[in-house]
Amino acid sequence: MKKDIVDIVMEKEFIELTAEERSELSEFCSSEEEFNQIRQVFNGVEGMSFENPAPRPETKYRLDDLFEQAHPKAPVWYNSFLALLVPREKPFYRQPLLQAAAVLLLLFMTVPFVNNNMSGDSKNLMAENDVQTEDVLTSGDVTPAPMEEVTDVQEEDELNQAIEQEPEPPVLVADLNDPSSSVTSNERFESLAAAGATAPGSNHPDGIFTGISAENVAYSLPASESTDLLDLLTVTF
Amino acid sequence: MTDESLMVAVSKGDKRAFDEIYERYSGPLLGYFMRMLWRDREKAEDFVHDIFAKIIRKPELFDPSRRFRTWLYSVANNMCKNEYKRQEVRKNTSNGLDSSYAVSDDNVNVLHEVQDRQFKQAFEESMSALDQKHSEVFKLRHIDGLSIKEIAEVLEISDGTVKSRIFYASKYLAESLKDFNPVMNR
Repeated sequence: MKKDIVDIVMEKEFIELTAEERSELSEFCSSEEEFNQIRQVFNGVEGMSFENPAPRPETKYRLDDLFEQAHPKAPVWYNSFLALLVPREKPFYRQPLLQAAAVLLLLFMTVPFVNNNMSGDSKNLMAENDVQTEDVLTSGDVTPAPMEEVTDVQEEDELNQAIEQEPEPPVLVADLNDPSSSVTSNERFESLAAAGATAPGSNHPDGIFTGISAENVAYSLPASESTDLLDLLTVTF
Repeated sequence: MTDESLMVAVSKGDKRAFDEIYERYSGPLLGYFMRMLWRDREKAEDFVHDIFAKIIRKPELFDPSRRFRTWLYSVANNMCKNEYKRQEVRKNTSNGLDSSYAVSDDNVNVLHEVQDRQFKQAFEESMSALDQKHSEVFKLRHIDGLSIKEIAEVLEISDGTVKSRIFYASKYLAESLKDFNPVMNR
């Protein structure tokens, strides 16, 4: 702290004063004698002990009560952690807890929309692919892509040979629902399968039927052929 | 911890900071109020309570850019001025040594002790005879320990005026206490 003129007067003798200090002091004391008188007063007063009286304890108690009223103590649950999250001295919009909650809410509200957009894009893409596939399938002049042609060639040849060796399938001219037909249901389906397999110009994707046998297919029988069922259907009450 | 940082803590409800401020300034303020309020201890106690109550209730009144001590004495000075207006009388000091001002026990020399008491008594008489504006400045400088700049801030006067009043009071005291030259020279 800078010393003021009173400090200078108390600390220095007249002869020790600088020119600047003398010029400043010249306003208040004109001679060395006057300077010494003032110096004695200053030092005499400084030497006196002015012990300040202590206020009564009651004054402090009253102030303590007032402080308690003005700044009520925080409840037990308001510990240091909570005080960090919800500091009372900050306005509500600057409290860390509220800010974190706002960020979480923002994320909670935006992330589902982002996901929806992404899944929407993929759905659109899938739909476009479907349309293209459909176009390919529906166009008549498009030849199907040779699939596993190399590996299936041998198998195909064998099958063709087997087909050639078989007798010509009977042409289905009879009504399939006609029970009087001499051809049984099993025979019909087998012949149908064979016909499909051997029919030229078949538009089945594979071109051939394989592995179909009578044992694997459950055929329905006409009720007339099953006596039990016929009895059950024609029972009279 | 500085007074200013303690005040910031007080404004946030820090009780220990308030206790520290009270510890530092309650005594000097009580002495100041007693000097300014005609040695009326009860009134001085009430004023000490009131000034600290202001600190509790409205800590925002303190401007952190200012020095706390200067601000505190400014408030105290204004409180005294208001009291003067209320009383419409000037200071009515009692002559004689105030019992609150204890003489230091360090001085074992009885003669010196007596001389000190006499000097103090004479000093008090001279100060009471001096007009208030000069005695106030002198006491703020030599008893409360405020610098010239701080006194100027507290009393809202210029530095030059403070110096002028101090030296005027000093000359007056030198004249009235010339019989105590041996004491003053010690």
